[in-house]
Amino acid sequence: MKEKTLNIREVILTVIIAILCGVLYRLWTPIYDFADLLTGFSGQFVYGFWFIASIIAAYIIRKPGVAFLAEMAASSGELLTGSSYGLTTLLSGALQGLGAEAVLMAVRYRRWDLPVLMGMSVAATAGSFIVDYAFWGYAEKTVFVQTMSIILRTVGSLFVCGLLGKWIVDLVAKTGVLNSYAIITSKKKPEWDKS
Amino acid sequence: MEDRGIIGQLNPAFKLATHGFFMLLLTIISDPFTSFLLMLIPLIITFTMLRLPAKILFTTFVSFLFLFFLSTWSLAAFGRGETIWFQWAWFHFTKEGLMNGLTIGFRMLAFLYYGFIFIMTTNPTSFVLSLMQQFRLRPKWAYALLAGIRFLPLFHQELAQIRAAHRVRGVHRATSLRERLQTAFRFTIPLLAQGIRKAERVAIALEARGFDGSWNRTFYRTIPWGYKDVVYFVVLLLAHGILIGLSTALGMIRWGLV
Repeated sequence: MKEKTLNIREVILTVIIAILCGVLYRLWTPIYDFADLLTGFSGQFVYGFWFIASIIAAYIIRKPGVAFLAEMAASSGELLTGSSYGLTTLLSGALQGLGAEAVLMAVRYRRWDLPVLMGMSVAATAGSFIVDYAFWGYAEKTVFVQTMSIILRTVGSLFVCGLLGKWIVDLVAKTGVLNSYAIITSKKKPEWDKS
Repeated sequence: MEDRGIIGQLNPAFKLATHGFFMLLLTIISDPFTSFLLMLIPLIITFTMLRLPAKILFTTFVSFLFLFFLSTWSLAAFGRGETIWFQWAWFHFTKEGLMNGLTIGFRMLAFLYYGFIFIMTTNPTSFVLSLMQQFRLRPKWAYALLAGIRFLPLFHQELAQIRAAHRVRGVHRATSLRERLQTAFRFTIPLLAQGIRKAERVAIALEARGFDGSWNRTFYRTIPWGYKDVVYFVVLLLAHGILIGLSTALGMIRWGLV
């Protein structure tokens, strides 16, 4: 089980998770748009939800590249179901995924605890801001709105992405469907074997 | 969507690249007038060449207009600038902000229309096949994506099933915010668990039939590309060239990132 490359089972799992998340993202977009754009920054706290695919997939499969590819697949799923941000979702997905992946690379794919997952969320936030500054004119907003956006989105991503992602996966793991994936098999003794 | 109309006959991967190219061009233009002119190109394509029912075109137009107002507002009401019109709390209406807001708004509209054209004229399956055949996306990922696309309608079924299961067990309708959040979890966890089970079954089925995800394979369906793709790119390039030239002649154009 110490292979570095993804096998077909893991690839399909990544894509299915990503596409499910993509559908959720799609449902999320109008709510966010309305809440955020009207008051300037009120939606930023929950923006982190858009990075959750990479957290969920990487936390389950624990191999290089999963975080990036999951976010890419999620954004394609979002695009194919008709995202209002059009083709820029692909770019957002790529940069958010790269951010998350960079953190994993820094810890050499060895640690998978909550601080690392939260670090991934923050790095993905940084990636998302690159797109916002390049395409959506964030640099021209007032300093107050810019600062509030950055603070709220970063703090929010810790909870809505890092913590929530880990929590969801841990709950799913309890159902037993993940027993053959790295999240369970990498433990010295599996949950279900403790007596 | 199916491969619709003239644009539907183009190669999906090249179409995506073409749209991406002109979207990048739009991001380095920072005045509302030129952005507006360039936005008209995908808008006109949408209304003349897609041959969609008028009702769909109308609802799309209205919902895009709404997003246009929202994104213009996001800079007009919170933008930096010297000429302040009105100020209250953190709301900060300025002339420069409105100008930037309009630029971003038209850019957003153009992006939306390019995305809309792409989605409405492209069959997801041919898109993934062409990504694999022209852009060398690994078959392992391409077929996983194809399986994922096929699962989209199944998730709706799954959702209906979970809802029915809840009803049978007497889970009452959520009213308070707390209950709503709980309901979200009650749906997410089983949906994910079922998705993971399905993924595993598909993977085993693929492996059992000798699928190894490598390039050592042939294709039953090939997605061609040819002079049409070049023509599409050149026509768009010409249209952009003419409009940018017009805007330059009028002295309206401003290059740079907003």
